[in-house]
Amino acid sequence: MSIKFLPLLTIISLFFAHPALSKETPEQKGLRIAKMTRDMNEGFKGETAEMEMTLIDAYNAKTVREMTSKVMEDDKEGDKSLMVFLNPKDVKGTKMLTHSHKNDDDDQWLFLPSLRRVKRISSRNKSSSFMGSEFSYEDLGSQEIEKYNYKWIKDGKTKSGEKLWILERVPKKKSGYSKMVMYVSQTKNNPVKIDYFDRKGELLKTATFSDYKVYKIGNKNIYRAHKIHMKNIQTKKQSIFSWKNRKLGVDHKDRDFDTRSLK
Amino acid sequence: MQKFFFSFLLLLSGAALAQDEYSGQGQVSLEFRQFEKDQSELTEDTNISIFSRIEQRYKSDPFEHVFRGYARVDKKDQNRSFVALEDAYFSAFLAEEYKILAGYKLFNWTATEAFHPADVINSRNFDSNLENLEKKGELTIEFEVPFFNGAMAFYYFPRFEEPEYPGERSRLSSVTLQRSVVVDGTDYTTNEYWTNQYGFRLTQVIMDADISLHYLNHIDRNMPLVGTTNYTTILGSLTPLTSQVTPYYYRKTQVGGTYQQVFGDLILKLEFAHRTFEQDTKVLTAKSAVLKSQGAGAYETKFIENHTEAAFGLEYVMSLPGGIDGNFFLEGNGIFGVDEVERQERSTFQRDIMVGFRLAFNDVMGSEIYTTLITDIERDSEYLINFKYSRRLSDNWKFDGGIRIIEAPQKNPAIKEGLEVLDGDSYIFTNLTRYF
Repeated sequence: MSIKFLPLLTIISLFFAHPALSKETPEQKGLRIAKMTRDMNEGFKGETAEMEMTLIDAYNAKTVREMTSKVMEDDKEGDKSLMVFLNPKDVKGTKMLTHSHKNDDDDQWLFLPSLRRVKRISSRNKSSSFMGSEFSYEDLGSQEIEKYNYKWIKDGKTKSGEKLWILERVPKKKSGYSKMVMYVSQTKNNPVKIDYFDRKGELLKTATFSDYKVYKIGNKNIYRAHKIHMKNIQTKKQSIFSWKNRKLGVDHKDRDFDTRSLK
Repeated sequence: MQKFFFSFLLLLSGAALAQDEYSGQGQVSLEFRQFEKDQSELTEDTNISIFSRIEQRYKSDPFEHVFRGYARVDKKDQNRSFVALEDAYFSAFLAEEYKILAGYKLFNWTATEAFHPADVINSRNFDSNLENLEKKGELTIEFEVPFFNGAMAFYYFPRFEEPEYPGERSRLSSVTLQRSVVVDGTDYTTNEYWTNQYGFRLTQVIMDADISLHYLNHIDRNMPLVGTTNYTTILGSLTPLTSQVTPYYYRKTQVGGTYQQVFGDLILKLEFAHRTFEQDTKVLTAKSAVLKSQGAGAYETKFIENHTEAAFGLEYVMSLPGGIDGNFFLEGNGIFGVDEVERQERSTFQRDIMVGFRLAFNDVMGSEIYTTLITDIERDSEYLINFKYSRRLSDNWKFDGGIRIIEAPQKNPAIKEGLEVLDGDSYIFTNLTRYF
């Protein structure tokens, strides 16, 4: 074979080798999209933010919770995060340290300031409400793709014409949900909406992600939603999580995320 | 002097207000407790007090300054009124990794909820909740270095902090005690609170487990011998020359540790300590009930026997209907290596089981119920029940109230031992707290 055909052969073999272009099942496509969005969101190094959570009951009465958070990226094992509660005042100073794991339950510790006690807690019970809100610990915890089975359902569009991938995500381990349906923006590589289905398979909650901002980290554009509006369809209660003073690309120290840092 | 120091640190902390990484918080509580009537004019059946705590923290990496203290003023029992420093220290990270700290510090080395053999550094306020006594800060110099998945810390404690005892008008008091005496080798007369104490602690996180080991050489804070060294022998019988009784705290060496591991929804907790006491000095004490029943004399001289104390715990976490979280606790402890008499003299909880349940309703107001039952498996009919309900009233106000039932009928009319001292001292309590 003449060497002049080599570039053509290379192009043809690459074309057929690329998983996106060969025949793939909805599960394979779902997983590929999940991995791709993960890769697009990686590389933020570290993050700090002030957070506010507004709890709205069925009668529209509002209560506000405040906290700060730090996240350190660890693409080998799973991210590490530290959340410090500021309001209500009786829990001010309470800290929650989480070491995420891709294939195992997360390690979690709680620091109780009045007792100066660092207590290891079980992260298995993820369906519990986070500070009385409509968010559960599972909603706010690590979303490592290894913990879910993915399935592409179809492509779609938002009302404004933004292209979407619509994916089904089923937890592999114990969860408060039977499945989640994610509406992932093809430009932001992040969800704009997630429908959560309870263990009976009925729609329980809907989270709407908005106020996206783009952060330039190195040569990457990373999008982050600054508002998540969670509506509980069954109880009519709502919670709104919002971020302020968010910074990405922050260089955290390892010691900021070990149990010593809690005291 | 302590009040002056407290005020001085408060001022110092205030100076940090203008800095960026400053945080402050505090609380003021109106506390009320009502004991069951005891027909005694000498003790107060009702306590009404104001409890306040302030905490200020200033961080400017690599330096940190923390101050926290509390004060209680009781309207009816002056002995309950006191000020305690919990934290008042400066710390710094050297070369990013090595932490040095100096000042008063509150330690919490416990793994379990009710029994705390490993958590022995700080002196306690014995006029507070038996299973979680309030603590006083310990003057400390600490040097901590990272080590594998954890740290090694070296401690020097230059001063013995005297524990707080219930006063003579308190229902939780059995006898009026003199100023605590430190027994350091053969020295118990100078009663110097400045003394060399030191320790070491290794902590490691290994997979789903938290492990710690420690070594301490310090003056014990929890197991005094109560009696006198002022005595003589008359006609072969030991006789005290004073009616005053004093708590004697002995120097001890403690080797101990803790272990916590998560197994899914279950958390296993272990805690142990082996204690070796200096035995150069004997104190005249009232003999135990058992010896008395055998017809021996009223007094004996003794020191504290070496022993091991261990505790285990299981915590089961569950989700209940309605978004309620439940935590079920089962714990037990025991003192080993000494006979039953010595065991009972050493601690109120010498062979006990605790069963507890916590319900967090996860509502906006953070309503919570916590109840425990502690029962003695060695001594008949002794139990302690605690029930507490708490609820936020707003972002700043919180209410909690409950009942503590203590049942421990006196078995020997000659002497009260262990929990028997508190028999009939059940009480209800309410606290209204404003956080800021």
